[in-house]
Amino acid sequence: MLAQGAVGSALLHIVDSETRLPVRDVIVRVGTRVLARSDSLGHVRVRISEDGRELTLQRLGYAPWRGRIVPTDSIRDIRLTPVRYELSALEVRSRALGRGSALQASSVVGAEQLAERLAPSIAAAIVGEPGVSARTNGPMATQPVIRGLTGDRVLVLEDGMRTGDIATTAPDHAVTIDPGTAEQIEVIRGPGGLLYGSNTLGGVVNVIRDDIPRARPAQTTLAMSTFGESVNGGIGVSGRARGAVGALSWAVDGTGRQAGDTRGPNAVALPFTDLEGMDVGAGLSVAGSRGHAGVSAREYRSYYGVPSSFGGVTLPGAHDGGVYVDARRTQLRWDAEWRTDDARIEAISVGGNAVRFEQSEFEQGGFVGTRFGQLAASGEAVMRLRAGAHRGAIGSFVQWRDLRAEGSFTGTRPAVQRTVALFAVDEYTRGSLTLLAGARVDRSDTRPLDSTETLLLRDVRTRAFTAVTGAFGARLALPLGFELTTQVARAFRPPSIEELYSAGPHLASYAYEIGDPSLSAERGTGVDALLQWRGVRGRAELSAYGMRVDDYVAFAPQLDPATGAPMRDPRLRRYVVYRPQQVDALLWGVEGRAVLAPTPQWTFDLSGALPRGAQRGGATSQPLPAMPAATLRLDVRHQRGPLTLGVIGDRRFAQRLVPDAPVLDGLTCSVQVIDGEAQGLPAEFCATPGALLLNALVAWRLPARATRWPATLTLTVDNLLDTEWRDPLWRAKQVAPQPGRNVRLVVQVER
Amino acid sequence: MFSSVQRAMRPVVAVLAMAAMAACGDKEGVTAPEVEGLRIREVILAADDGTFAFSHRDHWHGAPVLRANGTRGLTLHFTSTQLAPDDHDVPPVESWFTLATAPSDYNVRVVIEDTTVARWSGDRVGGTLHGLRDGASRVSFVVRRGSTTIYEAPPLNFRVQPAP
Amino acid sequence: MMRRLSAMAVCALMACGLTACDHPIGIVSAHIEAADLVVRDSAGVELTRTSFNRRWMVDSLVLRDGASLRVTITPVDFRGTELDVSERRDVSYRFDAERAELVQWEPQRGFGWLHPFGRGETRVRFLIWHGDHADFVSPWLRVVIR
Repeated sequence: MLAQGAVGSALLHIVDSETRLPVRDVIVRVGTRVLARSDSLGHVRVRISEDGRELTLQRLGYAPWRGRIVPTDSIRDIRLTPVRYELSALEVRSRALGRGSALQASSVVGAEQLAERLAPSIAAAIVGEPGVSARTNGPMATQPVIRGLTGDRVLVLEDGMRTGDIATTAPDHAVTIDPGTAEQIEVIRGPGGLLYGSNTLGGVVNVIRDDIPRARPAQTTLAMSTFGESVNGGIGVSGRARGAVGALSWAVDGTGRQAGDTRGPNAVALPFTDLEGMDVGAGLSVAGSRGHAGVSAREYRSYYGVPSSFGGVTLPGAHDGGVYVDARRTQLRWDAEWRTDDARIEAISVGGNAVRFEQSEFEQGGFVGTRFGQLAASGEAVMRLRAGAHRGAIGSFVQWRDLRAEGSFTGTRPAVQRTVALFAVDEYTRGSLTLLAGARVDRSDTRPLDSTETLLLRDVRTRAFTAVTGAFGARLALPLGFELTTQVARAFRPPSIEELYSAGPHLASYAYEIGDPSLSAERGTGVDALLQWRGVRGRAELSAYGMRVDDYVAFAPQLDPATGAPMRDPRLRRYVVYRPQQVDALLWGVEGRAVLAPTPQWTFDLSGALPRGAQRGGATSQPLPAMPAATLRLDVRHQRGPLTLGVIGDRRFAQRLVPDAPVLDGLTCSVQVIDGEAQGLPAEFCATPGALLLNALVAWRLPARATRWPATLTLTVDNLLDTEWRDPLWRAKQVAPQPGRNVRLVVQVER
Repeated sequence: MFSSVQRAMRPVVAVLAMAAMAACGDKEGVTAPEVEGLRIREVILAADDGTFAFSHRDHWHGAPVLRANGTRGLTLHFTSTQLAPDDHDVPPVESWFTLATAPSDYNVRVVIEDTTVARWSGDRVGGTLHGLRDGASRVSFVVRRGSTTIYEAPPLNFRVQPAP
Repeated sequence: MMRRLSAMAVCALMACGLTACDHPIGIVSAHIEAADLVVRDSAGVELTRTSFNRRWMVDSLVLRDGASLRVTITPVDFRGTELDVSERRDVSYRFDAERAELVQWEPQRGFGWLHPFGRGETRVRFLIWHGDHADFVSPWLRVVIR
């Protein structure tokens, strides 16, 4: 018997549950800290305290094993089940509450799924999760859509920090994060204002890289993937390595990719969809039992086309002759946490980043039509507290950004935006009941650097917005593995710089936009109900939500009061003038997912979503524009030894709920081609037919004797039947279809 | 632990700081193309009688006038100096150069829009504008290296007055 | 504690250094928010002006063949206030002509010349050029050369 506080050890013997062969290179972890790795005989000895530890055993191609290990003199046998899907609990992170289950609908896309997809954008990496779709404008300029909300209403973070790019300002701007080397991507659906601040009405997408190691790795690890795909001749490579030198922990990662034009069904090319990009980062930290402190640097560059024509027809509102975007983001990030001995203060955590971003858009002929530049910095400090059954935090957040634009094809006015926030949150657990309550105060001010007035843009002045947001939720653990969670949350979004001060063309929206400096902030109140089930062989969830957004900002076309015709821009008399108006919006829907593995060989993953949205302006009510269609997805996988076969059916229902179209020169949804240019109503006013897509997958886990390191080959065929289908969220859907059949080969290696 | 780490962190911090400064300093990271060989920004036409016309970004200052059945000899000078949009002075003479000593793959293509009004004869150093009939037209000057255009002047208006 | 704080301070200073470096855009060059254009001759007499930038109040200019016309072009804002762009080195006036061989525009500082090259008729328009793009494009103006 060991003395109290003493440390013992246990010898584990890890084998494959089917073949009974030893499994090497299994990582043994406590939380995020790597303790050890199994050898070629499947043996690993771990040092643990007298009363044991909760350990996690992980290896590519196997379901994670979690359990309690106590010191013992005998060998403990552990069998790992080879599966393709994780049945793990959904754990998201926040600086305030650390790692744990979110009290609202959320999804986690793990590294294995990310490596299987190797998508060029964050949105493409997470599309297919319940309630998540993508607004596409080419492979790179793709933004996540959560419950029908996107752009400035969905907050995309990288390790909890704002990216500092301009992805939300236009549909042809990319999120400057390559998901190739992400550890996981967490998607929180619904208002996330309490923990993440403003711009979270739709939800939060948090890309976890952990490029500042939070724990000292016991060994050096390396993971690499390379891929090729047929739909655009794309190739790419990504790699991630972690290790330690003395007291210093390090992490490096990088992704590089390039691709030609994407081909639609019948191999018809969509010009100006080629791309190349890279995202490299490195971090250093000092980590110990009491915490960590470190810094990281990251550089992202991409050069991509924005589609402008298809089959010789210019897409509505596209830049003539296509446009290429050259984007660059440089970031420094710091992060530190100190876990205390204090009875009440669990930890103090600080972090922040500084970003320099620039983007040039090259028009036909190679001249720069528009340039954007932004400097941004943000910081957060949180003190996590505990008292009995209470666990909470108090914290502060600051952000500053200076956005400027120049060139002929932008109406964005330069401005400086500053935000300060204070928040407090408390989580109380008693038995099977967990309650969460929190409040946050945000103050944001936006100062224009160009206050010139025009006929339609008046009183250009600094605007300040103060909002109190918060959340109250409860989770009740029920028998048989069920859990019921409900939450009421409030979030807000200050008007963007473009919505306040624009005075010029916005070609990505095929409009000439005039801002309104008198806009109010959007305020949303959402209610979520989530029923979850977790069992040995599966998990399931069903969620229903509703959210009301007051003063929802939507750009609407203006009519000339003298003629009644659409007002055209004063410069070229070409683009319709749009101005923001504020309406009340209502969003509601249901989402669900069930992952079942009735036997170790079979896995069934069924998911679906039905989002709805309506806007009310005065006495009328009509659908919100650009709402995603309902979806249903079934993923069936069969594992036979090292081989996994999968078939995925993706049903996209027709989207017929569209707002009434304004009167625009007699245009209809039937596209007419005049002088090579498509003339028709904006896509948001036109219905979209449904489609059924079929994908197939073959994955082969290479035998250990064949390769020095564990390796997996995955061959995927997307859109197996080369079906022609239209994306309801794409503004060019009436002219161009989505990509055709794509054969993709991914090779993953992990050491 | 921290004292040794502090020593280890210093060079790391310095490297990262330098990387940050390098990132700040590289303003040309996304836009500036490289141009090889001669850098031509404007063209100056010097007439035999001492008058001249010169291009300035998108327009010209001065224009040749000749008579039908008459001629106007012009020497082609170039400069790499580009003046500000509101500076309409002639580029400094010391910046002028001709293609006389340029590598042999440099050539100048002279195109007259209405070839019934005038015609051009000459080489990359200069030539003669021959007036054919009363009228007006425009002439363009394109400098190429091999088959690659490295400079194109805005079109220049000229007038051919009736023969005396 | 002090070492930890100093390490954090170093990190924060680095970040400040990054944000203190030059902005990618640098100087903000405001667009010329002109609502209309006024054209005057060398004596200051108004020849024509645009109306809500839809049409010219006097819809044509007459030039004499062989006689250049010196004009000043002045933008006005939506209140009718004349805008002084003389100090803006990044702003100039450009010119389009449908029959470009007939008339040439030669800008100077503060004024410009319309040079006729033969008799005939064409349409022209003026652009307020800002750096690499137009901040304002006028309607077409008929020019007659006699």
